[in-house]
Amino acid sequence: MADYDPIVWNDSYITGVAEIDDQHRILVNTFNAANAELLVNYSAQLLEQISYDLLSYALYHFETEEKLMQEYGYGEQKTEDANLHTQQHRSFSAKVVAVRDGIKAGNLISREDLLSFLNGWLIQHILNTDKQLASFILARRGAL
Amino acid sequence: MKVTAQSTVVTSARNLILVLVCAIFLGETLSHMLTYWLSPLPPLAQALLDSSLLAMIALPTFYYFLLRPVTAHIAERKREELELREANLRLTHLINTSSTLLFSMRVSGKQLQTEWVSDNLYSVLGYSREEALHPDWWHHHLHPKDVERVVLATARLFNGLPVAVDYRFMHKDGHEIWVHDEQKLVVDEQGEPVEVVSSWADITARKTAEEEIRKLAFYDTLTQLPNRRLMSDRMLQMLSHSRRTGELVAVCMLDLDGFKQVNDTLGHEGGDALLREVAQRLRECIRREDTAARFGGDEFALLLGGFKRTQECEQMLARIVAAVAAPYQVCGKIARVSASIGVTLFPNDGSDPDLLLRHADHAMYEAKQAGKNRYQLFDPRHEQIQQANQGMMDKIAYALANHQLELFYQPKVNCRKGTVVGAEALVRWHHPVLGLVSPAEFLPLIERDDLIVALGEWVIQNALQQLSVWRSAGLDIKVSVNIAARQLHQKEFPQRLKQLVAGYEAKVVSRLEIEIVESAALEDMVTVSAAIRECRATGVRVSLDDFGTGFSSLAHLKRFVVDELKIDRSFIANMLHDPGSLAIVEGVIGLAASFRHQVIAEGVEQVDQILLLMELGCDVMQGYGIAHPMPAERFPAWCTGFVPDPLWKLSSSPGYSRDYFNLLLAEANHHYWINQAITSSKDTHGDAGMDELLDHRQCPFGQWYYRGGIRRFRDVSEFRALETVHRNMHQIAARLSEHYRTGNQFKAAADEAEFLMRQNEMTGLLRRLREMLAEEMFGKKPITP
Repeated sequence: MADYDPIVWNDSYITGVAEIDDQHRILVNTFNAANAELLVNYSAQLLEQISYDLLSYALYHFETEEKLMQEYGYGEQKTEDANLHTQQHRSFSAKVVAVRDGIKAGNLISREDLLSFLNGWLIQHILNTDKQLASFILARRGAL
Repeated sequence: MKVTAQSTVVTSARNLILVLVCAIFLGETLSHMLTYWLSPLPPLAQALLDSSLLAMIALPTFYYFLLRPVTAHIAERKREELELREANLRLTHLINTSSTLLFSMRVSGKQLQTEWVSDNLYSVLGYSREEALHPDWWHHHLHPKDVERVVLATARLFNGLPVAVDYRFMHKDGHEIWVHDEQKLVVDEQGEPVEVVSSWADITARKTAEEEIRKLAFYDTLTQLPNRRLMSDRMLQMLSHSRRTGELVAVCMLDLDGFKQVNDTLGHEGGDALLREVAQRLRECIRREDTAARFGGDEFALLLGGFKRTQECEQMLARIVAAVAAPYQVCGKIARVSASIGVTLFPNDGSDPDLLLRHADHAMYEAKQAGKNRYQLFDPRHEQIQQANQGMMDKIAYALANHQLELFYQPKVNCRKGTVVGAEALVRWHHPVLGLVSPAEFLPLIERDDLIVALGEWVIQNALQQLSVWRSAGLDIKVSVNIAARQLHQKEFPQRLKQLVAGYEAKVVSRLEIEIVESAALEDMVTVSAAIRECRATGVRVSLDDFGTGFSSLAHLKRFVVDELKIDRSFIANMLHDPGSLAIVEGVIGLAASFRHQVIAEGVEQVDQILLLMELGCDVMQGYGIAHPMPAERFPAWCTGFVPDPLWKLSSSPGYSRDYFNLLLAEANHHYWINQAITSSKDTHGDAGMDELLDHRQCPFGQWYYRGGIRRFRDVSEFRALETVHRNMHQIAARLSEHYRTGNQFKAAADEAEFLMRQNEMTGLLRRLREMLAEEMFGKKPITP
């Protein structure tokens, strides 16, 4: 699978925490839509719109996840994992801001670069980092 | 009354008897007197007299008791017969002149056979009696769609219920009439059905009126297309059908582009004619099961079904767009309109009918925005993202109202003088969950909302307050705030600014600076240039931010009478390795000088950038290379503890600085050359100019090395080592180019790795040279071989 093929949602992406999964699905859809739109209309305006949506949705989604981390004491119990996790969130936002700065200065990120960044981040983050958090949350929910 | 009649009868009978008795008595008396006077009569005469007397008694009796009742009876019968005939005639006449037709059908088994039909058959239906009595006549002329209903009704009839049923029947001349048929079953004494009598009323007029009313209620009068009400009804049916079959249903809103112009030029009649033609074209494009509706004005809706895949639907939509866009002949003139169609697909969009229409409407606006004459599919994901966006917006509004926002200040330093001249106020969000969020991450989300205006005012207020606190503490610096395009484009902004600064002394106000992003200024030049003038008249300084990204022309710059230009961070970040960025930086500094504006660089991170900027003529700068943004309370302490980097002084010592600057340039140029070399060698068709590029004396670094460089650093071992490394890099570049041409990817990768190694080596050597220059300059150690 090339980095810029659409992500076909499958069960392996499901973390088991409904609120996280719902939002992941939207992120994946956003990725797929960006993918399709950029193919026919690669422009500063579209890149700006995509990065805007990503910025907004990232904040929204990260807040959900980090709130869950706080609620279930992820930081106290799994400090290293929690730090790594929030670090990945920050670096995602930083990258999107960098993409926006580039657009402003006329250095448009290429479709391939943007998609490969998003694809890599989404898949890696969902499959590893978020699943770790989810299994922790599910274990805690089970214990309660 | 009864009593009186009886007594009358009794009285007349008594009179009659009295008259009779008197008559008999009179007769007897008369005959006796005659016998007495005319005695004795001859026998013949006596016999004659006797028989006369007998007749006188018998005849009236005969008449009264026999003849009279019989004739009376006969007369009565005659009268009755006459009355019956009259009644019959009247009835026939009535039937013939009315529209009600009467039938009688004999029942034989389950079959009905017309036996009798009223005379108005011809006038009502146009058929002759002979035709009507044909066994198949009735069935043959019944409307096929009504057969089922009629058969059901007849079945009810045989269950003993009276039946009334409406159906369509073919008139002899071929037109259709509506019939209200009331049927009744006649049974014999055993209860066996004998015949069916039925009366037919022609209710065509009523049905037409009803149809008219229905049309008024469910159809658009101008185009005869279904209206919104009928559309909703059909939608419910089609959606439930789709749920069963899994087929896609497209709910579309269609708006005409350019209809107003047609109305304006051809008048309302022309407009109406065009709408009718559009309706006709829509009808022709869709299937029988689909619906095209008109909601009013130039607004139509479409309900299309039976699609297996989105592409099928899109093909149909493309056909509709093309059909509507074809020219129209209206009122003898050619008119043109096009369609903007918004579409949402059920069940992908699983909303209820109202919401589906709203989604289609939403997509229709997008189609308009995207340039009209097209269709636009609604994206349900869009909605979710919109919700997320709105959610974030609400959170930021909450943050503003609940003191979650704070201003951080990033120092601006004059590197040549080594002084702190000001600070840029940057908003930070203390997010309850995410911690500190930078403005770049959340300000874009509210840029297009009035919230940015409220935030802008909050920033100005806070910055002014901070300025006055610092001023009373003896810290006299400028503070700049960022003003978003939306706020700047509001006509009332200068007035608001005046109100905000009203409570502060002029000295404080004169330290406030607003930063306007260059591209925002260019969006509405008239308003912005006026705003700039008014701000400066208020005593507030104005800076053009992110300068170089907005493509200002010199003419623009003449109109924007600002105090300062701020070079965009992207050019600063790239100036050391991209001659293009370097050229822009030089250009902006030159422009600022020409227009007598101050100039500042943002985003400086390395000392080399600082030195190069100073060399180019820009002394004031900010960036992580000097200080990160910090909370207000830490700022005074930072200022007190601020010590300029001794390296910055390099720029002030002419001889050394020139050497240092040249070294930086050589390095920047070589970075650029490397990128060029690798890009060109990958492009297998672009051999032109390769030789020049590969000549190590011709490249920009070579030119410096073998001229200025060799004069200054001739005896330094690091400098001599540079020659080998540099020549080596050119050889590798030549090989790389060859590998790419022959397609030897494996060797190319190996050489590329070596190339980068040499590059690092070279950068290290150059850096060492700069360090030596610096050490020598500060008098510690002269450069020696």
